Amino acid sequence: MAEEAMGQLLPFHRRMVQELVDTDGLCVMAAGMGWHKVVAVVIRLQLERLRDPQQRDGIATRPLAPSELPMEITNETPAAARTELYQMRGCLFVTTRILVVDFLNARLRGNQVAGIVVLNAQKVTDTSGEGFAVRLFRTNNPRGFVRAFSDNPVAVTAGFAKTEKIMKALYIRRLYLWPRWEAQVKDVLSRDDQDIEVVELELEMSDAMADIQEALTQLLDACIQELKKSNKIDSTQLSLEAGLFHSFDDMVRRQLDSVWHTVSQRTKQLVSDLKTVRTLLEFLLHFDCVTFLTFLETLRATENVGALWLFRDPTHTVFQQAKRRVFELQNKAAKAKAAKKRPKPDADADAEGDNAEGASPEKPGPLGLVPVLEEMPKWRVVCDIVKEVQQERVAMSSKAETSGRSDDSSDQDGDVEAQHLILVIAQEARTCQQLREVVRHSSGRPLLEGLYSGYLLQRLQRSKAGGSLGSGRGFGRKAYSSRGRRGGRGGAHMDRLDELRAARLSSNPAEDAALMSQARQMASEKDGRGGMRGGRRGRGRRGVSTAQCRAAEKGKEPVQAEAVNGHEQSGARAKDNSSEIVGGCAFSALESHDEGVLERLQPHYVIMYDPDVAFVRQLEVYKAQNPGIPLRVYNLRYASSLEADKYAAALSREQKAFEDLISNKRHLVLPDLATDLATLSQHPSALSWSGGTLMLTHPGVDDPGGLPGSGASNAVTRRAGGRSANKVVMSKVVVDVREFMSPLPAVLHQQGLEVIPVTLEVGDYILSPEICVERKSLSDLRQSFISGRLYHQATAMTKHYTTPVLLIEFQRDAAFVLNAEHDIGADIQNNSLISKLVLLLTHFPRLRVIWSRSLHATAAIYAALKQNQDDPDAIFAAAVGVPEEAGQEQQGGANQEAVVNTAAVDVLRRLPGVGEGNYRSLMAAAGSLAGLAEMSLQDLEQAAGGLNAAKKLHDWLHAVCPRLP
Amino acid sequence: ASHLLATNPNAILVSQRQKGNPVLKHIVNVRKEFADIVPDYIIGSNSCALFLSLRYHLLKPDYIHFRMRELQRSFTLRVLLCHVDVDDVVEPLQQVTRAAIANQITLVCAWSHLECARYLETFKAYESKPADLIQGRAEEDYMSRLNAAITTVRGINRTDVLTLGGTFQTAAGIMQASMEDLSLCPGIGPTKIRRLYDAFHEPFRRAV
Repeated sequence: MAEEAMGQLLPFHRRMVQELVDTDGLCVMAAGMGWHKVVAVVIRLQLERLRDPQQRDGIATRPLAPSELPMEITNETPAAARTELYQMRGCLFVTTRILVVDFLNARLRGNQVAGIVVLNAQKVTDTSGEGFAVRLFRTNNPRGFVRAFSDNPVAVTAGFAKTEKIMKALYIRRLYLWPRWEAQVKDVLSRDDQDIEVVELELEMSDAMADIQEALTQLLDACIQELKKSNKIDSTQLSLEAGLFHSFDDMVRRQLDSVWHTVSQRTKQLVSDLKTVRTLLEFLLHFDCVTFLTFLETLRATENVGALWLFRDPTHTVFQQAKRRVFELQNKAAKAKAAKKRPKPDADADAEGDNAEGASPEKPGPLGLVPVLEEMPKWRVVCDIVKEVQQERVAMSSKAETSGRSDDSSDQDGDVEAQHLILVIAQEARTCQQLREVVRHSSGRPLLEGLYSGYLLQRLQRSKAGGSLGSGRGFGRKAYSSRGRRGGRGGAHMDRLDELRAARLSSNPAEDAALMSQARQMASEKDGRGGMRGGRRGRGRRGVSTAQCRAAEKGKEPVQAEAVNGHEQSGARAKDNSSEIVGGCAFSALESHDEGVLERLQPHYVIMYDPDVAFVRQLEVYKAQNPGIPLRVYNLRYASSLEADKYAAALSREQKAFEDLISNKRHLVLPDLATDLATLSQHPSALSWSGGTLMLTHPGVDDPGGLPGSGASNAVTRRAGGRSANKVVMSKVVVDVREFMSPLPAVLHQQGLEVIPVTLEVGDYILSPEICVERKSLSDLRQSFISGRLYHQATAMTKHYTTPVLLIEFQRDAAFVLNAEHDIGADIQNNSLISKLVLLLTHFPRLRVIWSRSLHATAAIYAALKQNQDDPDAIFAAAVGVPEEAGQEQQGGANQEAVVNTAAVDVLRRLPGVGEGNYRSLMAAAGSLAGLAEMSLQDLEQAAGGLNAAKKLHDWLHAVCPRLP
Repeated sequence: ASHLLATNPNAILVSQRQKGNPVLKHIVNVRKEFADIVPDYIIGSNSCALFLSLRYHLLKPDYIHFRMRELQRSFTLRVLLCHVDVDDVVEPLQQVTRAAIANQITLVCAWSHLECARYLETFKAYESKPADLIQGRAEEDYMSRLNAAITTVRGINRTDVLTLGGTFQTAAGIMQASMEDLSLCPGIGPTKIRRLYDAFHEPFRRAV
């Protein structure tokens, strides 16, 4: 019964499918309206078409059985297996990079494919992976279908003529819009008999939280005011309201990007401060008090010295209040009294206020620490709701028994629980995990105690580890917000600033000592009493700082040598999480994007811990599809917090986006599809199949023009540059498969170069047997100077190629400038980009440099450089730089792709004891970084080729991380 | 180049031809001397530079080819210092790039006279400097090492590293952390967690 209901399509879903199947198009729907259902049916219909067309309608109402689910193809799938899968004519999920590579390698041909379904269409551009793949597909198969989906209307309208660009890139001409207020949708979702019982619960933030929020808002406002003073920004868009919502960072960045090099250091700092403060505002509502404080302290230890927000008055309040939510410093007598005063955790919330005023901070004497551990206000409410529901359940089950109607006579609590499940929805997985603990104990206290002891122990360990830093300074920098400093307020502003700066670097000894003594006490308690208390504490810690426990138990858990596909695993984990039911509650995090959770669990009660537009829609759809299931939704919201505003803003942004889309739809300017496709097949890059290789056919110079939206002028320039017309030319570029993450290969292909994907050990692009190019965007360039990667790459390129080239790639929308004039300074600086570049060029005099304005400029330069040069040999290029032993293994399959974990290799090479000489053998012996961390000193000695290096590495890996002074 | 023996080995030698170039007045950190030389500047015992303004190149596109031919192969490092002083750079820059690569000359672009001068100065000053600065030698202390290693993973900043260090105690602990453990770290969102987890648990290299 449930099975059938699941597959039932709502009338408007049915309509969406109908539209798309009739004519290809882009379907943009409001968030949370169940795109996955529509996609599933579209796929199912296609599968069925292969069998029996008459059955179609019947099938549309049934969900896909697990065995019928499409296979997934990622970079984990071996090339041979991929070729086989492509022959099966089923439905496949393919990552764009692999699809492009396989199209180019002719493992798959366009005419073997019936059509492509594109998800997240808002990300498509003519040079993105999706755009490239669709282009390659269309080139060989103008009749196949392309059906695109997006449930992010805001992103679809962001940018100039974005919708047109997406549709052009996908070669589709229809736009289908499904806002929530569309008539058919409204009919279904807002029916009168659709009675979702909604309980709105508005709760107050604690005083400390409200203070922190107020202070953070002031900080935000101050940052915005400062930012307005810089004349680089259109200040009409800068307002506090705008600052509270997501798009703000992007907006500021977008405005500044083109002039980023001319922006002063101070403005840059302001932009980053804005981001930090906005993050804190969010974390205040998401994190418990201990975590929030830990985060603040970590932030303070690592923030740039220049960070402006750290030195403002409201920041003082933030730190002070954040600390007050966790512990208070009191003299011993008061502490004893307070300890008596709080026998029960329940009393805490009330007692806290009194203590805050009762304790006189100025009083001298030995200070002790009293944990306050303020619970999140929402926790209490969640517990209450759970209790209430449980009572209802009891009433219900007894009613069922008395009425005798129950078919399952063994009606136990568990069954009722399972049938009347509560689903708790929160933004973060972390919150879900914490809530589970809270519900388990019906109180947040054990959780917080666990976190707090973790916090103290961490300090203790760090101060031990950081003994050389001076134990007193172990966790300094706190004095800034300590009470003792209060007396200093009101002094001259400059003095205060100096004092604050000084305070950041020193510490408040009293607080320090109190914390340390409590930490020691905690540690000895833990060691000494393994009995009742230890047990309790242990339980508290389990859920809380599992991470720490795990770290302590390292080695017990076998590390998965063969890593599972990440997405699958996170999916599985999300399911694990939600299937672990505590007190009749399941938990699901919005960030895990588990859209099927409602259908799977069929909850009768939903607690929305964090408000979310998309999830509200999911609830509506779920209710409309399961009218028989009673549904009560509890909506938790802090009064006078930003949550409500944010929710409203998200709604209105979506509404605005749809309005734009609707008015744009009337005058979309798109070329006729038939001509567009005809141009495509005439385009220089049109491939003709011949004897196992791809051939490029160049049309005459008088060809009417390149592809719409591509740099046609460049193509013409290049062709005018000495190429004879109507001649079949092979113009190949060998490209590293990892480069297909960047849009450059797509542009090269657009410009008529044949792109051959291969895994390269040396270089990113091989233009000829002599020319090898390493591509660096500006940020890559900086990063790889710091990491030393570019130096190694230059060494390798110089060793194997006559003309090694460094391509410095600028973004088209950013300024074409390497160094802003005011950044150059009066003298030669060691760490300036100029100096590093000079060093590189001095040490590699054969290294050439291409300064490329844009992707299209790069393509033009490549084409120019290739003139009078032989084409590169893919098999040879792939073998370059591969050490001999490895080379022999790979022989016969140089065209094979290998999955290289670049990030891991980079990390490995920066570890102590690891050098040019031994990193390959370490890689082979360890397998992965996790594997490396597990290796014994003996094993390391063998792999690292020496006891010295091995010891250095081993010691470093297992040294305890000190706290920053 | 025997006629150079008389000149100061610590100075940039400037061709007479460059007299009046506004770049010269910005060369202040290194001495400069005029000399009778083929290239525009001699910026090291075996390195030289030609100077080209893109605006000039647009007027006289053949000039630079002539200068390059004239220069031949007499220096190990030959730099073409190109002052980007036009708005529409794509076309002229492409010509210059092509010429430079064909003549085995290293192209360096600069956007102001000051920047041009700074390149010349730095080439001279760093003439015999070892490459340590760009070899990624991390500082020796623990936190610098940890930062250097972990921030290699895209998007991970120093705050995150400290959070990770605090949670898992050791570098080995961080690398062995499960996805679940990582997700408990405050301030590290799902994207970063995914990247970290992949970096630590995906094998270094696997033939497929």
